[in-house]
Amino acid sequence: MTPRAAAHPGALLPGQRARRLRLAAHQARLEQRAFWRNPEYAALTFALPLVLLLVLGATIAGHRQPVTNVPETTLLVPGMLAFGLIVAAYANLASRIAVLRSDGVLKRVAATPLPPAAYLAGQLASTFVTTALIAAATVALGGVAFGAVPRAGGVLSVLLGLGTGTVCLTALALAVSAVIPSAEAAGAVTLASYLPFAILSGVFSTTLVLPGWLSRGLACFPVKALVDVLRAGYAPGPQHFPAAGLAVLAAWALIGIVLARRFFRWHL
Amino acid sequence: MSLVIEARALEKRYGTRQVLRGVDLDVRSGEVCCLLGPNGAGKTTTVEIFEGFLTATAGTVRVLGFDPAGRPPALLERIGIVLQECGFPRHLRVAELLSAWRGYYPSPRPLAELLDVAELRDERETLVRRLSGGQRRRLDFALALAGDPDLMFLDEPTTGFDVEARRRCWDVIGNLRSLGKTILLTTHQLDEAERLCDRVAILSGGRILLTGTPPALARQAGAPTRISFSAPEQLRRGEISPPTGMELSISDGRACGAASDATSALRTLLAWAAGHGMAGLEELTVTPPGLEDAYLRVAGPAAAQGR
Repeated sequence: MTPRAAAHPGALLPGQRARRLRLAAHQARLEQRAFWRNPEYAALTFALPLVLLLVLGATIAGHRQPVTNVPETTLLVPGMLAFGLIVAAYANLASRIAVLRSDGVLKRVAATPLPPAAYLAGQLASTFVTTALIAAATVALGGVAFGAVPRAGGVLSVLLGLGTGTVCLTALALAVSAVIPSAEAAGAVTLASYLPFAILSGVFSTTLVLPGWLSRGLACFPVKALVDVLRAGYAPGPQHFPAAGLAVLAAWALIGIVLARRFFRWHL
Repeated sequence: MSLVIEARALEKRYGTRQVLRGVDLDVRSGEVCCLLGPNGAGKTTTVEIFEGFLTATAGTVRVLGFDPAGRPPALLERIGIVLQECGFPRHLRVAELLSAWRGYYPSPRPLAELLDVAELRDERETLVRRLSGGQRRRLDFALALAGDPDLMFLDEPTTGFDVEARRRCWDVIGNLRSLGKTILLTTHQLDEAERLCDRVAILSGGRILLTGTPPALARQAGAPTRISFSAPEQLRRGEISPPTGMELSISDGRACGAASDATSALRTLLAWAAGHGMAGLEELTVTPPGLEDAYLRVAGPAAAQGR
């Protein structure tokens, strides 16, 4: 160990940082490879939001919102975009980590000198890639099938929503994975944790009307905040920057990071 | 000889349940040391303390000079761990997984060598999920060897395998030994301990009861030498009585006895035979006490049940 490292035990030397980045990148490539080698899983992850978009979109094609006259498919696309993010960045990641833990893979990794941060960074990077691909596919399909694209000034909102949303959802996934008791429970726990929010937040429906108090309450949770931010980027009309929604997402990202750091476990 | 593992008075408690009650163990450089004990004796707990996965409630432990409790990277670089049951990333190929693992260590062993040692040359490009149980276990060994460790932990390496898979695992453990690795192995199987290990520590009820080479253990445990011979006609019919001071049981035409001092027992026996006009004792067999005798003697009913 060099004197500098000895003086600051927590500090990384430039060489060490480069090595960790390299290890994380390699881990991300392995995770991606493993993801695509499981075709049923990969296909479902992609098909779920895309097929839902087509099916739900077909039922409301031509309908318009009563007052604003916005085509309903234009509001459905950001909903499905949010759903894709939830599936890829939250549900898949949380259950995958839970399964890796329950199978002992995380323990096996913890038995090596691989820095835990490098391993997790690789997992997250792979999740980001998958999430970005799903988001891109959803945006493209929405444009091609329904002519729904973000409004001229809304691209920034959409990008910020996707970015903050992904960070927020992955952090929450890591936190939630800690309380999933077994591999068998992984799917059920993650589904139960997001589906009610998704339904009540209007992910699947553009005409859902809720009592004001419930709507305001839900706006404090990440799913509704994400949907609001993305819809603000799609819905034509008066410009408004979805600061409140982004703030909620950022706050939940912080909460997720704190909880994940506190509760993440490498083995049962 | 330098000590690779030095444990003194290790205790582990979970609430009110005391799993380890003072484990003392030395593992010397280059040896294959076996922690033998019935199920629930505390073998895995002991090893997991050495590996840094668990912290002892009391006592001290040094592994390669480090306190394993903080799992310092400098220690992790020098040990290889085969956990009792441990999954793999199932959608990777054998060579991919080994290559990734090699990347985690500063001076890994060459990939081809890992495949050779673990006898997985033909499975190089096989998806991990398609490997048999025995092959996965050998992949465990290869992964643990990837960083070219000085010390390897093998927790119940062959439990649950059929004869063939077990034999191949033993071969691979033999390969590891011939690389000069210090190995701490846990098992509840006597034949495994006897075949693979230089020294055996018998762990039962959270304590090390005896430590030594298998023959030394038998001596320490005070297990008797077995003497048997073809029972002569007169003895079988009860026409003559057995030698004084020696208990003989007769079954299937053989007379069997046990003696702590084999030499004097044989002297007595031969004098007795000569005294009854026998030319000699047919099929006379003297069996020194083995690991099994020592184990059953010291670990007692728990050991017998665990087998």
